[in-house]
Amino acid sequence: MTSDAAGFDGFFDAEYRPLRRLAYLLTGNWDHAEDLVQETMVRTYRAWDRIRRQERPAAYARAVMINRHNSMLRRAMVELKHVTTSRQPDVQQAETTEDAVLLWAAIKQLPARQKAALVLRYYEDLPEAEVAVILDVPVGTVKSLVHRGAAKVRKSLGAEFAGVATGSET
Amino acid sequence: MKLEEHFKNALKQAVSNEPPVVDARARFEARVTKTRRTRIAMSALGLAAVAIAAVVVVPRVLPDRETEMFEPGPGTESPTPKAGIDTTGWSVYSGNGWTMKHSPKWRVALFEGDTEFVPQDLKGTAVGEPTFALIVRPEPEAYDAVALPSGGETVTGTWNDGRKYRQWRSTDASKPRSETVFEIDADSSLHVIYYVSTVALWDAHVREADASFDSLTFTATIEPKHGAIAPGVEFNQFTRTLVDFMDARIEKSGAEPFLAASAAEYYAEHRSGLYLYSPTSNPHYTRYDVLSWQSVEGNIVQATFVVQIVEEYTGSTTAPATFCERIGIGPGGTRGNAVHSAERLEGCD
Repeated sequence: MTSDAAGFDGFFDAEYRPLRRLAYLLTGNWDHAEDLVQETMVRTYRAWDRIRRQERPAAYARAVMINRHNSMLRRAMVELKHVTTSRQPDVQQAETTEDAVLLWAAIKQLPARQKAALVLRYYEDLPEAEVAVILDVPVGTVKSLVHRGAAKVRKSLGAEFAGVATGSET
Repeated sequence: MKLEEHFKNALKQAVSNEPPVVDARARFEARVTKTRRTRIAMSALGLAAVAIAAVVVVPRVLPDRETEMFEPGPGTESPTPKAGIDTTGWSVYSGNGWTMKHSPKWRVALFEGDTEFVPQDLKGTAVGEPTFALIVRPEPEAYDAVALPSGGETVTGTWNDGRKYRQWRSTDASKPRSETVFEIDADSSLHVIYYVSTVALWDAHVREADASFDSLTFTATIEPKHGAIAPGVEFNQFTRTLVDFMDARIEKSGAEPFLAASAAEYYAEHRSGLYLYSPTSNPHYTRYDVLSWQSVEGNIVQATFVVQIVEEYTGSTTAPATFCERIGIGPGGTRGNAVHSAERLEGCD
């Protein structure tokens, strides 16, 4: 391993797969997720001397990933005008339920910040205060992003998915 | 089943088709090595270009920006495009660590952490196209590590305050574009992007964008110790005073010198005092979020901020509580600016 900063190897081993799954939930594509997690690890490694003294380098890495994803989105918007590519969406495997597939499809359509807030809150299961730190926004903004994201998902699913459409939000 | 359970289930299932991890460490090491090589190469190229420029290149006064964008230039050059537009009376926008002027015919929009300057009659990039946006983006990495587009030409140089920058320009006249990354410190930089939909829009707005670009000035950053600042709040002199004041309140020391007489009176009389009772009692203010701000004309108070404050009990299971204050700041006091008004709000609007 090239790392010469104490503890980074362990961090890499422990966090690579969780970060890759998070990247997939942000990008909706495993190739992009792989690229995003690699980029995140490189940036975290470069800052390791500084952040290893913090209690939560994992939170730092997630913040880096969210920021990098936003930058990638911006670049994609810029490139989209000039390059038309057809990319096959990742195929869901059979064990996923139909409801979950519908819901995931709706979540993927959310604006980046709403999607990030939802994923950090419900997939990473982080408290709102921690999501706020990672997204660098007030807790109230996290609540708003999650609420608006959930409302948009409900609206987009409509009658197709009665279970979610009528489910209560707490 | 509650909605959040549906979300958790769907997200969990979404990653159930995760492919195996292959050579993650090898690819990571290759990236780290490549980044180092790139940095070394960039430094060497920069030094070589400076040496060549010092011997060979007569410093050129940049011609019209449009021409400059599409003609390859030397490796280093005078940093400032000469827009040739009088910016007297333009608005000044304050970001965190930088300020930029913009024409009154342009507006400021915020999207995904970026600050965008957009002509009033065009859409911001969050909405769509057609657009012309001058985008300012903080980057959490060194200026020479930020990825710039391939193709085109890249030059390096120093800004008018001596800081280094890299500038990439399209050399394709049908796709005008420019990106400049300025050095902040070893781990951060400021990325300024010209983003445009069409050549016609480029031609129509690039000179005003250049004038804004020319006005870019770097300032000390505002780093709240115990809070956060929401997107949309300007990082101006009044914000700086507010953050210093709020940090002092959380630390239970040194907030009084920020208070003008009217505000001192308010905090003396109201339950949500400066430090919440006393330095030793419970509960304590533990953090704050600056939610919004508004500039105020023609009054001693020149900016008002809505601040959400968290109060918690030490050594107790009592849940933290929050409340909001509207705090007015303007010129005055020994520090240049002072807190002139404070008001506890029913909600946080």
